[in-house]
Amino acid sequence: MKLADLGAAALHDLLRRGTLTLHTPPFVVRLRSDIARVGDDLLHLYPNFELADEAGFADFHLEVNRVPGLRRWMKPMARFGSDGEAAFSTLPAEQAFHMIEWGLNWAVTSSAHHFLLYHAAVLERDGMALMLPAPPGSGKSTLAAALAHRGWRLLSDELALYNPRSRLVQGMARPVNLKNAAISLIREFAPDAVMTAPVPDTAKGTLALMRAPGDSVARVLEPARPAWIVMPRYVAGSSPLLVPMAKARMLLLLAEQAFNYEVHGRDGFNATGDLVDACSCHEFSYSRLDDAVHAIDALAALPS
Amino acid sequence: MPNRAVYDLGMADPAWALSRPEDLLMRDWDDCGAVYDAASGDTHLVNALAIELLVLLRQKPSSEAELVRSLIDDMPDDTATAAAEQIASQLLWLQRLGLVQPIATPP
Repeated sequence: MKLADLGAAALHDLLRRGTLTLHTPPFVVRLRSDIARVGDDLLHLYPNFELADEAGFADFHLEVNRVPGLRRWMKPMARFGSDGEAAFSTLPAEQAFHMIEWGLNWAVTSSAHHFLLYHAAVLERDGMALMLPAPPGSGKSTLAAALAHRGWRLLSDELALYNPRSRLVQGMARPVNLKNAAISLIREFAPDAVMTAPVPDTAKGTLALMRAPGDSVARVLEPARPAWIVMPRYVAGSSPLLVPMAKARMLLLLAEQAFNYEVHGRDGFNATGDLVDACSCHEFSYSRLDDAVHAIDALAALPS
Repeated sequence: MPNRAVYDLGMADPAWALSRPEDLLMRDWDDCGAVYDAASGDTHLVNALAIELLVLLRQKPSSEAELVRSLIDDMPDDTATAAAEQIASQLLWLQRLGLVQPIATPP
């Protein structure tokens, strides 16, 4: 049964009772919230995700609830919790759904150490994965959102789940985090993109989440074999410029951008070395999304 | 010639060795490489010359003069002098990273 099949009333009820259990492969997440917008956004962004057994095992138990007290009438605040423990600072309640997303990332990166977790967007075409590792603010999510609407399957905009044994990348097909100017850019580039209402005045500026396109969700269980690693960088006014990047430098970048490289020790170094060895590695600067998509398509069309 | 300001074991040309051979993993590509130090958890970006030196020192501890002879065998004299200076400089840099160290050799 998919989340959308529940209907809004039942979804809000399960969410209030803390028994809404969602399969976000490869994890199962149980959610609780007394904030109506969380349920609305969940329905908006995850309609085609499968529900999991309410009484069954869940990898993560996440909640975001209103902070009680008189202040709730002046400026409602919300607090995120994981496994019954409060985590993070309280934030305005309109950011409640973003807290769930950040909290899920935090839960995954804190505990899913059977994967090597790189800070990278991942897309797939013909079974081959394109990884886009980059520091925040580089335009990684924007480029991932654009590619996801031009024939690439979105695996993730934020977390590359690399299995060092199978050497495949697993997707989650969760929503894409867009910030500030990227929100209107993607609206213009992909008018059919489904997004949440922008939330202004957050610590990161204005935020919106874009639903992963339908094919990405339908094929979420299909991993992909890494073939290209591209470090993107948005440079205002730049023509698309794709240049080879030394594999050793890419290894260092991935190590720096990984969440649990140090947990894996020697195996992390060996697996990351194997990963860059298996891929064509590039740096990519761009400004216009159409140009960027053409450049990435051209790279993918080259013989491996 | 070796820079005595960084190491001084009272020897004219001490042998160099990997600091902890069992802890160092290396990846070598054409232009540069990466070294993982399991003791510190650090990963270092190193140039091709540094990789060559580390590979030679993994085989056996060697003096700087021996390393220079191994690496610049057939070079013309003027190139060889510059290369020897680079080798000396690289050894000091690898020493600062904690990857190599001068060791006392029997008299």
